[in-house]
Amino acid sequence: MQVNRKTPGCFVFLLDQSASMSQPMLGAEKKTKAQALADIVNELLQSIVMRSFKSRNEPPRHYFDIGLIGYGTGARPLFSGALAGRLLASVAEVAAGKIRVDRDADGHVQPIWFDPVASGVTHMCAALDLAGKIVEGWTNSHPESGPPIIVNITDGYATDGDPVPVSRRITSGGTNHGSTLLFNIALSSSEATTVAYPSTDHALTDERAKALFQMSSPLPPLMRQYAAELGADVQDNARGFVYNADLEAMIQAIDVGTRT
Amino acid sequence: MTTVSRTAGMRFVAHTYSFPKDEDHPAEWEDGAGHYLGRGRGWFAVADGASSGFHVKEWAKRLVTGFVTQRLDSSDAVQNLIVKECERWSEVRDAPAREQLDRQWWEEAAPLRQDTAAAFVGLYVEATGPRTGKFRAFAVGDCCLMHVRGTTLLMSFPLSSPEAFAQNPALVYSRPEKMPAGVEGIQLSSGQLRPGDMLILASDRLSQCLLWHSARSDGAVWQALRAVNRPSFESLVRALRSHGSLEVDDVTLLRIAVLEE
Repeated sequence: MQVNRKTPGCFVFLLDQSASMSQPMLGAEKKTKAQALADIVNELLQSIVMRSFKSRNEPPRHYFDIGLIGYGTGARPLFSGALAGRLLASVAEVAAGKIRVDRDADGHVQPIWFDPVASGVTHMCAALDLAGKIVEGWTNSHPESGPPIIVNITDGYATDGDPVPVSRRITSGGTNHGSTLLFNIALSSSEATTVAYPSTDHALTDERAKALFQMSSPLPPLMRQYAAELGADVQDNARGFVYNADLEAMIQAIDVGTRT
Repeated sequence: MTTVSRTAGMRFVAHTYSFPKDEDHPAEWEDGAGHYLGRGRGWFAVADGASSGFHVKEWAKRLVTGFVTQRLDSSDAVQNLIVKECERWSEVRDAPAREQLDRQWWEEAAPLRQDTAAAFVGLYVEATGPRTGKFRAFAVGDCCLMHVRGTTLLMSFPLSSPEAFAQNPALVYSRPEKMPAGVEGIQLSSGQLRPGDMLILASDRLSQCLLWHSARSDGAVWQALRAVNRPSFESLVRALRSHGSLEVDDVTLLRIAVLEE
């Protein structure tokens, strides 16, 4: 459904910042997973701001609310500066709340909201619990919006419990237009075959990967269609889950999962 | 707005109605609509700015204004209009928003990152005799022309059923490379007119809604549109939204009545 001021969208990004994220990112030359993730999510935030910037001399419209949660040992909101401590911010607040603006080699602006971190263990359950609280409040106040979308990006597995029950609690809620969507992107640590948008867990041999599959929501038709346009082989009951993602697969999955 | 064209045998009366997606922000209505009536002829257009674009209201307005003021009546002419507007668009896109030092980062990023796009339908009508006329229509995307005789929908162009509306329709983009079909992407239709006919140009979601009701209402929807005026149009949009058959979006209706002199 169309996002607008009356029915804004909501994205919550859960970013693994555990120590293992200091390992090299497959497909990204000389970048750690933490650096690649920070680059891509900062770029994504810029893209969401630009999607809401509709007319010159007018700030970005309130078409989205955005949450940014990092997790390692514990889970915490990643906004800082004027947005420090905020679990959710409107897109206009996010636009103004960058910590700095870098420039690439061509001089193009690159706003930055957070820097890479790789430390501690993987408290994914704590992050999911926090995300659940965020979207529960949001859905209560936005019943006519499309369902919120939570994108969890990790290179490991929860070290603070079983993430499946809390995921089920999250996806049992939603708005009048659908259940809250939870997508999972599991980054690869080796040259393993990527499994993208599976409809069954048959290709997954690891029990913890199967758990991530179970946690993941089915892709809505629009996202399935978009994934297919990008060349993915998607079935009707494909899940929002990518396993053993390299850099390219991660970018594509984030693109698909934030398509509204 | 109401305009009348009188000719030897037939006259056209045009009314345009619009309604924003958000009543609290009427300036954010981002469609375009316009018409020009000459002796025995008329040009009408509606464009629907894509929600994903930048400055879409201006783009929609340029397409509509170009069609009606240049009085286009062929696919080639419409294609030339699009090519020229694409060339001119960089002036709009790259115009500085304010003094360089005061610019926000998103204003600086806009020229590089922002495209604009709109669905478009243009209509040319011509009286050919005392009680006869003809039309030609040009469309890219899912704004529709509907030709109604009495309470019967004779045709809807370019889409003819509510199920045909897709999430990603064809659009007129400000970047020509996004329209690989080029001139072939402009769809063409034509037909004959009689006094009493009604032609409707409508933005995408309204077109879809009208076709949905047409299939279920045995013509009542067309009777309602013949009688609609500004207050009743606004009430109608609110009612359709409340009913759920009209998605929340900018809404534009251009109604042309074909009348005997």
